[in-house]
Amino acid sequence: MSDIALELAGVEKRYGASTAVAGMDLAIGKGEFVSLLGASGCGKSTTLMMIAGFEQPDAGEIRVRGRRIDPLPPDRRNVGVVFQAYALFPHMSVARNVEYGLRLRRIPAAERRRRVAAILDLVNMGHLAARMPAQLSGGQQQRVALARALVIEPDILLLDEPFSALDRQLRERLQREVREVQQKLGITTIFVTHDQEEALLMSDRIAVMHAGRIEQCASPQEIYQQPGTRIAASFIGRGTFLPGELAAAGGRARFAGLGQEVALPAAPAAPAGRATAFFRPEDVRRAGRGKAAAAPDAGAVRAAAAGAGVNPDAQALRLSGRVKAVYFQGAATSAELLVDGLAEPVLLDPAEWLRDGPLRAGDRLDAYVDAASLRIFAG
Amino acid sequence: MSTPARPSEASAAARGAIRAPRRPFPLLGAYVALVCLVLVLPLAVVLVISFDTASYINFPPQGFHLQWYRSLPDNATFARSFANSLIVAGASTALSVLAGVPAALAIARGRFRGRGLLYGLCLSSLTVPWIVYGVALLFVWGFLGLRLSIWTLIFGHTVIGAPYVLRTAVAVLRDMPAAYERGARSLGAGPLRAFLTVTLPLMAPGIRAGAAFAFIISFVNIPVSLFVTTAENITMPVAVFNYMQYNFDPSVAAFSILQLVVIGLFIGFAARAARQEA
Repeated sequence: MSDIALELAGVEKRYGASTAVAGMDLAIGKGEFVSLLGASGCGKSTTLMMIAGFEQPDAGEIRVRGRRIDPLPPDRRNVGVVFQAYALFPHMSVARNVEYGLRLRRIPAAERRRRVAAILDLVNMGHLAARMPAQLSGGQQQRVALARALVIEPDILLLDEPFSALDRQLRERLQREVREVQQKLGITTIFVTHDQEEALLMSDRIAVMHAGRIEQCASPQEIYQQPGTRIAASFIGRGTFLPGELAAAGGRARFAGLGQEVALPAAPAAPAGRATAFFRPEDVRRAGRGKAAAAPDAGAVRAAAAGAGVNPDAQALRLSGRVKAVYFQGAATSAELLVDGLAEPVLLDPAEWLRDGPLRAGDRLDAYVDAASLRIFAG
Repeated sequence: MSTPARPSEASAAARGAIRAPRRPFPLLGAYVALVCLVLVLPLAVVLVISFDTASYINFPPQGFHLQWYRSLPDNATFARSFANSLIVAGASTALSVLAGVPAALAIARGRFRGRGLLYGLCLSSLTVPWIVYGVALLFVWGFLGLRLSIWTLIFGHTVIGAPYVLRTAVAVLRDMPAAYERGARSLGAGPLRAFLTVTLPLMAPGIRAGAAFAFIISFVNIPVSLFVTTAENITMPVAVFNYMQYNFDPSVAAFSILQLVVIGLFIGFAARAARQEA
């Protein structure tokens, strides 16, 4: 493939006995925006530092447009880096900061000025070129840091949690701005973050990392709708994990859990045996509403559930329980359902139900999840 | 604004709340004044004596003139020791910076075993009594067959001065995020250029503060100098020490005040550097 801008092949990094990055393979196309998403210690930052040249891989190769860069020092890689914070040189003005990389490249003064002005305009910082970094807000500093990294026309742009030090509103604005600039310039970008919303909003693809490995690398939509692993499912979006058993008898796969057995429309990748079913809040549908004020008839409901549970051809998983809490969040509303026989509450997305009537904590609720919406993971 | 009075009222109340505990310890002021007096009084006495018209050291003074100051350059030992002290302090400070800054880089940025041990070893001359160190140096020069000269003196002062530079430089480096250097490297600067254009300018206030201390340490040092100076390369404090053993005229007070002025200058220099750092 000729349009691969950056390739990691079997890249490994160990610190003593612990493995930070374990045999990582990743190919990124030209102009693509790929996020490395994971909790701290998952190896995402180490991966970024290896691409930038501040860490040396113990095994594997890193290639930019087919050329190996891992033996090169950081200054010979032509990779732009935007750091978390405090990366602007505090003793240089905004213009001098941006100019720094161009001076090192011995670009003539006139062209230098032109390029600095152009890139500062692109990030809306042209009017503050004479300021010192200490006179800028956090958001302005990160805009300048982006300009400084971009002005050298790097092959790859690396963003190391560049918004984590900013407050929420500013963060959201900068996310859109950075994505816009990235698309305008068509620059291949790797973005390290632990914030799933950020990754969903900005990325062409997200690589969910855990324990030094990529769990899944796919488009945000695909990871959300078809999480490949339990960890990918837990890291992107929210949902419920239901322990149970996977059986593959007579050509059809069945999931047994919560005292029920559900026929799955397609055979899952997981092997038969202990398994976990996963579903999103919006996959939960409402069957009917019980009376909260009425005398507890949980026994009757449970008996009904047990009676239906033996039906092996059920097309849906039934969830009966009591609403634990309803959270109004402005545009969205979420709720939690305490299901009989489940320790953890089931997350609900009751937006559509609310048109039919209010939902209150304590309400009895019968709901179900279509078998087709269940994702089955091993273990 | 329709209600401008309210916020100002609120802030006045807030100011009042802040002002209230301003003098929680009425005796503290008196205590501080006493401590200052104890610290400054001996120096004030020296200052007064240096202007005295009497030809011997006594207190209270008998009159006021500048004769002792005017005659300082005529005292060959004083003149030479003053020049020597400036040369030795200047040279040992320069060497302290040249030794301390690279050592600080290795200790704060390097990744090798025994960094902590190396740091402790480098700082050990801060804890070894200087007089022990002076004797040791004398033995070393004797063993190596080196004649005592201004160079052996400069070397001795460098060893006691460099830890001050090292310590401030390490402190600055440890507070400095690696992102500065990494930013420079990723923009195309080699290790040396990144150091010269980014790290060193940012370390400068710390280095200046450490250098000012190294200068003062050299300038006031007696214990090390006493053993490794000769009549030709005598330093200022040693000259004062010697002079006081046989003479009692106030010229030594004037000479001491001159020493204080130089030290004061460098303390101011160090304080300014420390402010820039913050």
